[in-house]
Amino acid sequence: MTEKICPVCNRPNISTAKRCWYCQSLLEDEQAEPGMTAEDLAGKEAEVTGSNEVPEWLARVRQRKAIEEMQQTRSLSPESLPPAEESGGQSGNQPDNQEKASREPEKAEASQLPEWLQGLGTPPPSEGVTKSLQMESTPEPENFSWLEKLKSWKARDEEDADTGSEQSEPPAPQPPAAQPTVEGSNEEWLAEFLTPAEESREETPSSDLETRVETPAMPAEIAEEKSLQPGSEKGPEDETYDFSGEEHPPLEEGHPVVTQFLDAEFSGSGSLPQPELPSVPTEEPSDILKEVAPTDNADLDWLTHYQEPEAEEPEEKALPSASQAGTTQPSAPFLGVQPSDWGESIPEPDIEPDFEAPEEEVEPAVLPAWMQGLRPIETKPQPSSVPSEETVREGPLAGIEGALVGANLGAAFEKPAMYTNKVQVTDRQSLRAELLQNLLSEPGEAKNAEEPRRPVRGKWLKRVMSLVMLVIVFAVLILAPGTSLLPVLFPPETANAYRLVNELSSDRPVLIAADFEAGLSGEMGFAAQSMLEHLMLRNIPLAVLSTNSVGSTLMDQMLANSQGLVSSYDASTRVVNFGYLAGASIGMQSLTSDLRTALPYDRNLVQAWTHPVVQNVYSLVDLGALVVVTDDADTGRYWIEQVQPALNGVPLILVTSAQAAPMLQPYYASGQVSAVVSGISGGSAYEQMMKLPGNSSYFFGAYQVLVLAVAALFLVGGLISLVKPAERGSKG
Amino acid sequence: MKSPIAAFIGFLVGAIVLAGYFTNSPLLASIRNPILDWTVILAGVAGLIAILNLVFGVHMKRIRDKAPRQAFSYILILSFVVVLIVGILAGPTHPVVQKTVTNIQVPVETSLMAVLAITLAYASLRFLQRQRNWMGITFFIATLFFFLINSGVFSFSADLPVLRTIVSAAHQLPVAGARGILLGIALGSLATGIRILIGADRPYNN
Amino acid sequence: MGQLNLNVDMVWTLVSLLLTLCVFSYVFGDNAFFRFATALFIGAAAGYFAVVILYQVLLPKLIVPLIQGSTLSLVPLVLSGLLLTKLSPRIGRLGNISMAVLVGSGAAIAIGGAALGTIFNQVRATVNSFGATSAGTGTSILESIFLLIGTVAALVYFNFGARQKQGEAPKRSKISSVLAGIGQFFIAVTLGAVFAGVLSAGLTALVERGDFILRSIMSLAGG
Repeated sequence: MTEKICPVCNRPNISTAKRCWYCQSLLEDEQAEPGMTAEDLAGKEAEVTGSNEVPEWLARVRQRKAIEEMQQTRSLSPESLPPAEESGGQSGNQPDNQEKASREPEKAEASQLPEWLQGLGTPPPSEGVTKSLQMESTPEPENFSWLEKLKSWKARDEEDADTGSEQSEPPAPQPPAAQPTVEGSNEEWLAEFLTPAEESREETPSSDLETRVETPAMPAEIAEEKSLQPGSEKGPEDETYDFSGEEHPPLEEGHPVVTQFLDAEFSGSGSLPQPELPSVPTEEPSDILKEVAPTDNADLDWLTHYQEPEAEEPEEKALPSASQAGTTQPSAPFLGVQPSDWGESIPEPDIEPDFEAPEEEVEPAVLPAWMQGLRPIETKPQPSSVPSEETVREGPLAGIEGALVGANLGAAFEKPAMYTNKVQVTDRQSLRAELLQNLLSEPGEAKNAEEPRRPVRGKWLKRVMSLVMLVIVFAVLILAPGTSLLPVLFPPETANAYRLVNELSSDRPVLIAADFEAGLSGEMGFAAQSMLEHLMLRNIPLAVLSTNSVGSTLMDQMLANSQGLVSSYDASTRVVNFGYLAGASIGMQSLTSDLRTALPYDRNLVQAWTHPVVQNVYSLVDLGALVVVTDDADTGRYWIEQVQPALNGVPLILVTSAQAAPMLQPYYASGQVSAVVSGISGGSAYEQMMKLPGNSSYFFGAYQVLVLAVAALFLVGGLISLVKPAERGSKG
Repeated sequence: MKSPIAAFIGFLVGAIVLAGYFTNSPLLASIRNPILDWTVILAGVAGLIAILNLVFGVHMKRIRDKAPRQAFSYILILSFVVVLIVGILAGPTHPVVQKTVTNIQVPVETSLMAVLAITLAYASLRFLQRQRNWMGITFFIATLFFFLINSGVFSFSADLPVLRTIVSAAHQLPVAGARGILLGIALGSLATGIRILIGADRPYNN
Repeated sequence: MGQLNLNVDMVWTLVSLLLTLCVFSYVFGDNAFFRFATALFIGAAAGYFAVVILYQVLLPKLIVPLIQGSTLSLVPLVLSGLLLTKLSPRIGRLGNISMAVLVGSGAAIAIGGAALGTIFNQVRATVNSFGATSAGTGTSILESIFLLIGTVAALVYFNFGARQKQGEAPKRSKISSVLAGIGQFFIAVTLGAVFAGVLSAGLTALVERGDFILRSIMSLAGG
């Protein structure tokens, strides 16, 4: 399907469209062709806009009336009217695009464009262009920055539409085209037409409305950056805009603002020869304007969307010259800008205009809340803070005239938005995470959850239990001391110990490794006491060492206790104590390497190997036996691993705590250990074999009662636990 | 690579010591035995460093920082200093010094074990409430069974051959599992030791 | 003099009794008496350990040889000095060499002990149990099989390697799963025996302390 390119906005339209969908201007086949009269054009436009309902006579009356009113308006202040190009520079940006749609008849004027305008890609000259227009539209080159801006905008549109041809480009010189329209219009429609511009001027004297409306869509940083650039300070007239969204009433005829506008708009034209009005009825453009750009603020909205592409970059490009222009024409933001400087380098806007805005039902200039929130703070009116080109009165630039005045940064800064790196999780996600955590948590972690509940009941239960256990011990020791159910069946490993000790030669010393802590010295005493007595009864020399700092001292005490029962044994001559051997398994290994070097002195720092007990011992194989008294399975294992291979048949006897016995049992099963006596039960069994009741048998009764009590508690607790609902443990 | 000299020395010393397990070479023994002797000395010095760190690094710091319950740190340091001074002056075999073992360490440590037994007994009441799976039940039954065996209450089984056989066989039950555990520990030690020797793990670097 | 010694012994007995009661007070919750007893115990134990190291390690193995002119003892002296630098965070790295000697020796000792002391001997014992019982009764053979299965199964349980098929979770093989389950049973039994032993040891300590309390009270009351 072929597209029609709008000559004004250069955007593609469907082939059946008569008006541009974007700018509502007549498309090419509907527009004035060379040689076409303005009346013909007006008639066609009337058809399009529905003005054909107006009778012809009425149209003529309106046209005439408009001409007369225009003439009256001109006669109000013909001297004060500014040159047309200045007016275009001030307010032309806002109505320009509206006027494009309504001033197709003036396209022909572009044929007489000056050279600078030709460079903008002017359309082919059309007939019917008056000399006066040519004179009016002849500006000084530096005063047409806005045209360059417009040019850049059009060039951008060309790229967007990808259909740009020089023939289809719209006529660039809009301000000259506006002249006849204004002249031919009456004050009423002019007031309506000018209302948006005047309102914006009144509230925010800038003419660069589209830029300001565009600004909210910009990222806040960009807008802030723009505001902080020196060139962005163009004075209150350029920088203050109304974003309140309030609907302003149209200015009435004779309103001072209107008058001021007209004065500013046409002050130049008064001095120029009055161009002959073409035969184009001036009311048609006005009608079109009324239709396309209603007098309410909707047109502002429409315009802002329509001209969004010009919003950002052109202003930035114009900023460097703003200071220069500011000294002479502060109200004209584009003065002093060389078109060739910036017109070619303006980047394309990446925001497409919103074309639904021109619809009349859209609430004009009412910014949504989010957009107001995005609005850069510097776009707020700051009328009094920037004295434009006046002398700077404070700061490092004080006294310098015409210096760019920085923005009021203190007021400009706002508290930055708080961004958090906290993971935003939904309730569902947190629920799943909790579930996963419960699945992965150890059963022991459940204790923490129950801690608040347990202390009350648990503490008392524990106290009662400890008291009951102590009472049992005291009761048995006081009421029935020595009463016990003594073992009848002796474990084979304990029986082996008895047999081995019984077979030992009294010539060879037995090395006793006392590797137990003070905490289990009681149990170790019960286990080892009977064996020590047995060794003493057999008058076997003893050598004591320990890889534990307190072991040798505790063994000394045990030997002393045993010697009290075996008075025939002389410990002072039959016992040598090597004391502490550091390094644990390393020390044990050093015993196998060189026994005499590893233990050079006894614990009194006397030469040990001169002692009669051990003077014939040079290595471990010279020992009668090695008795390891230990409460720790690892220590027992170290002795077995490091020393047993070097014993070469010398028996290794373990006297262990009940807690270490199960883990040392495999070494007895493998034959690495010759015999094992474990715990109070082992000691009691040994006493039974010796038929010499001692401490073990004496305390065994209390121990048995206590064990039975705890076993009963254990059993009852287990049964209750099986009946009660399970806590957070696994069920297999 | 961090401290390659230390890594090399560690490897060298380890290799020499390890070689001594497989050969009885006198030459090797003449190198290995002094190394082992030095290591024993170093172990003693390491123990001394541990004590100094405990007293001056931990408890002195607590006093300096005015940590809560610093009075107990005073007590600890005071008892340490008294025993150290008396021990250095009189020697470790002096009866007064040995009394610190027999009349301070033994009662405290033994009492701690007794309190531990009470705590364990209390904890065992709720055992099945937490681990109500078949392994937990097995553990529960095994504990009860061996607990009773240790108490000697099965002495009457001597008169019942069947019960005697069962008790005797039950003694062998833990041996199989313990042998598996010991083999696992040994394999783990082997792997860890090799990693240290070849420098894959360097616990001596910090 | 004898009266004085008796009184000194009574003081020590009283100290022991008080310390015992202080620790037992923990049954009623953490308190100052318990903390006092443990602080005193730790300080005394540390002091005694330091004295033992000085008198029974450094003096006979390092200082005396140095006094006797053994130049070889300079090596452990230097190494000990370097190890002492570990007390300072700034120059602590100097002690790495000493630590390397200590750790290297320890690693070699662990390897040798584990290999020769446990692995070879335990494996051999497991295998030999069949040979030793080959001439025995059927019960002995069953016992050997029982030990073999238990040992292997417990080892398999510690093997956490598993195959992973595409799109499936890692899973043990069927044989491995069965053996691991059996091993779990044996391990549970063994740990039960160990726990019973720990409880027995604790109860023995409780009996011993109960007897000490009674004796002390009687001796103090009678003394």
